[in-house]
Amino acid sequence: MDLQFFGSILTSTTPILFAALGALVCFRSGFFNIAIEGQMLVAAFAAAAVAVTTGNAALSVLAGVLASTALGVLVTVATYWARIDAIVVGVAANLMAAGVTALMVREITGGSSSLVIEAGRLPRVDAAAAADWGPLAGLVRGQTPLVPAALVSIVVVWWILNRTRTGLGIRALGESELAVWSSGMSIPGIRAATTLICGVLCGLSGAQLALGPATSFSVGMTNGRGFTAMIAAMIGAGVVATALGCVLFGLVDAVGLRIQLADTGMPQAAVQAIPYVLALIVLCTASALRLRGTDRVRRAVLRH
Amino acid sequence: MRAREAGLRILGLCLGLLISSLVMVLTGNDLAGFVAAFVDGLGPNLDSTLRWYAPLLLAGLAGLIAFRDGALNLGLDGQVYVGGAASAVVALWWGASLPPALTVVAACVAAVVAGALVAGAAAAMRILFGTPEVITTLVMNPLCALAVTLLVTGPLAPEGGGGNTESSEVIPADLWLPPLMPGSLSTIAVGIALITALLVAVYYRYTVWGFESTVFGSAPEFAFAVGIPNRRVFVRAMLTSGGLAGLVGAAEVLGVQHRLAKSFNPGIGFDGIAVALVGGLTVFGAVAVALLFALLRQAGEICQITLGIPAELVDVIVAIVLLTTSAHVVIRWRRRGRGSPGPGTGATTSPQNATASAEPIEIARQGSAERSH
Repeated sequence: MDLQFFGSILTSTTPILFAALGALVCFRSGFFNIAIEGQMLVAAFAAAAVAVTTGNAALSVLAGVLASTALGVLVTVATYWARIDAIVVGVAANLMAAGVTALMVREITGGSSSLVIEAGRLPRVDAAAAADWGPLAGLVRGQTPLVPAALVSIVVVWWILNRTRTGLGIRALGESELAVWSSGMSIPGIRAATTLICGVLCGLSGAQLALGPATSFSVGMTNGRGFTAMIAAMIGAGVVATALGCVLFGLVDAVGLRIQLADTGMPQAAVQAIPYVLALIVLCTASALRLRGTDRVRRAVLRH
Repeated sequence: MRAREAGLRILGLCLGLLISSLVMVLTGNDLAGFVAAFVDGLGPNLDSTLRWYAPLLLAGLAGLIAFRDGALNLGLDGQVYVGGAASAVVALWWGASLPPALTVVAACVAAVVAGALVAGAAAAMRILFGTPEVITTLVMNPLCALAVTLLVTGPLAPEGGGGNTESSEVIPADLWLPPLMPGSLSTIAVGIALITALLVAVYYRYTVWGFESTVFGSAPEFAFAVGIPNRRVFVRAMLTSGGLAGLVGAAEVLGVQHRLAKSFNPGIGFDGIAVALVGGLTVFGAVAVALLFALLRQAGEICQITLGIPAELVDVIVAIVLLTTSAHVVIRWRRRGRGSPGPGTGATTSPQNATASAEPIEIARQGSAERSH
């Protein structure tokens, strides 16, 4: 249990945390956005592609944010303007994201399934700079600037949701669309804000995935991480619960990495399965706790 | 009204294909070549069209049952994996000790059971803990894929593979699903799929269970109020759709690939959902749309080799078509005018009620209290 282990928890928590906060904002506005996964994937690809072509890390992150927001806008428009069921839109968006990114990677690389980034990686705290941190050196070594940004974004999202007018609108919209409508707030405006926040957060998440420790984009690299993030956002209604859930998933990721490196003879696939199993357990526990509060009759009505 | 709906759907379909062609032209791919390959799918390449038709139609029926019954099973993909794995396990472990015909049947049954079990697990979580099945089934997809990897690298690995194998041993030839014609890629799975389609149509049209499913799918609270056992209908829908998805896996493994490969499933589950939704959740629609998607898939396969167009292009086309056909609602909505913000449409129908902190339930509480399920 050295500090480096905590450092790797931070590293693996970061992408999940960004995505989970984005999902949380969507859920609080009453929008069950399952396109989070697709948004992360698109962002990761865009960040990687721009990094490969320009070699500029800042531009790459921006590209990731833009791509994710663009998909978010498409999803929101399809859901609320074209009135397609949110689940259908989400399935289509995830399919499209997987298809488009795979297609483009093959076009760029000429048939390969991964895009390796040489220049344009995110700057990282190297060993010399980490030494300045004294006892915390193990914790900060190898971290990208997006790691502290993720921690800051917890506070920012909390502040937006609980201390701003837009946040009030978002929360109110999740409770009752009719109430927001009759209060005179602009529903499209709130939806736009939600889309924007979620798009930016998912974009940062994707950028961290592609430009962070992996420094490459491979087809389907999110591999269900978006769904794990959604589960973290579904644990409770608040930012704190979400963040704690993300840390839990990050912890499991880091432990899994340790197990793989330690060569315990455990099959790799079994180790990789742990986060998903844990996610299911956590979600079931959370919803079981919530269910305890509802009375028996309501529980008997299986509704959607 | 039905005709109008179907017309709008076809219009959306054409629009989707048009946008897809535009995308192809813009990305600099050979559209004419793709269209030629698409048309060839009905002539010289009918065999490989049928090869894709069977899994797509079966998965489409699974998606149809799930979505029509209001059981949002997005885990078809994972259930395909598990079904394939189960059939491979039966074929490789007990294939030698049982008569071949019996083994094939047993493998298919095992696949159905395995798929149903995975879907059933999600259903159980929903019933017991109120966990929305949308997200649990989605998370189970990577889990099921990992289970296949585990099998392939461990118990089913061929001799001397060294723990880093990509696929299991080849299944003995007498356990393969019989091909339609000697040497063809398509198997009797096509027949199975068509018979299943007929059965599903009869189920919805003429049986009490089918009627209950339809009612529950369109209005769960109404269904409860008139005494339809909601939970039973829901579990039934999950189990059937999971089972059908499992059968898809068996058809892939025993019929086409003849071995269990790590990622043998190129997203047939999600294609199936798309087939069901594009087909308007009708059996006839699914039968027709599955043919369209099968043509696209085989064209994609051929063009990848001949023209160098990545096969993932088909995924993009499927997604675009899915969006444009569902968006036929736009026209209806705009015609009705837009007075109220209309809560209860679009995104507000489904599972976020289970996720949001407050559950605005306004069920008729009187009367339903006596009914205990």
